Amino acid sequence: MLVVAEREQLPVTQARAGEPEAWDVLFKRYQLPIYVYVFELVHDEQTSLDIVQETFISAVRHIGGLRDDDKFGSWLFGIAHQKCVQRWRKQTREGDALEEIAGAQDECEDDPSELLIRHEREAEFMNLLNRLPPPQLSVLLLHFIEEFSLEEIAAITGVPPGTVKSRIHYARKALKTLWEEKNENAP
Amino acid sequence: MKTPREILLKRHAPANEKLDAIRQKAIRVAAEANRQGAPDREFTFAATIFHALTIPFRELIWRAWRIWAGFVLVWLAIVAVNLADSDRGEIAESKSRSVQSGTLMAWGQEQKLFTDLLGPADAYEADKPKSVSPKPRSERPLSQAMG
Repeated sequence: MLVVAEREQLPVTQARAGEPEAWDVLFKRYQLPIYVYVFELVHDEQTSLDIVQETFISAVRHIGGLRDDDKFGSWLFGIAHQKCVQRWRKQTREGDALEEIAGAQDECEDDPSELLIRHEREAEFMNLLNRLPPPQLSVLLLHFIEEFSLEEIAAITGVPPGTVKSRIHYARKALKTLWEEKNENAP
Repeated sequence: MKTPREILLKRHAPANEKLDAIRQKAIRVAAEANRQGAPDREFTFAATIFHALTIPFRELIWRAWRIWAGFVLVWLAIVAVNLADSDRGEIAESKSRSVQSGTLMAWGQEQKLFTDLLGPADAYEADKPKSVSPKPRSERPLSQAMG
């Protein structure tokens, strides 16, 4: 099943030149994925919408800081991630939860399309996802939503690629364990 | 069967309406930023003209402003010297004028005295010069040719 297999041609150069139409295309492409990512981290609709808006406005103002046009998606997610971290630190001091998790650097099978969920189990999947600690949830969402590479996720979250790999591995492992436990307990 | 991505996006799809409004707001910010960043055409034209007019100044004068400043100083010094000289000349002229009138008065008095002593100058009338004919000797009248 094709998820987001190839990178689309986005009008980043035109957006740099200040064309509103180009920004419209870019924001339309990323508005829902970014909202999903932010919402699953903060679990509040209004806060999520505020963060998306702040992310877009920040992107317009700081597009000059983007070095590689092909990295626009990860750059935009990086802004959103920073906004989330700022909110956590400001409101609940849960930003500490994003501290690096020490762990083994095991190889991970990192194809998001490998995990397929039946329609009747979607709610359960979401519940399990929300039981993951924020650092693992963050990298797993980026992995699921946009299929970002380890390097891109590392750039977004501001942690080394090795740590990203570890977090994805443990997150998937934890998710699988929880999933199997659910299935075993299911009638 | 769905991928996690599909599940996540579908779950939050109802938020798209609100996200559209946010997108429009962000685009307005982008348009505003673009408008502020774009230079005014009239101003650009005026700036171009001004730039073109100031090229000679910048290339000829501003580049060697010390030399030109030196020329200006020298010129001002010359003007100052000329002005000073003209003042001095006027004084000298007025002085010489008064000297001339005195001399003329003295000369007039001497002439009057001389006239009184010797009589009027008309008494001593000088001989008139002979009229010489420009014609050749052969064509002259006989009286003139013999005389």
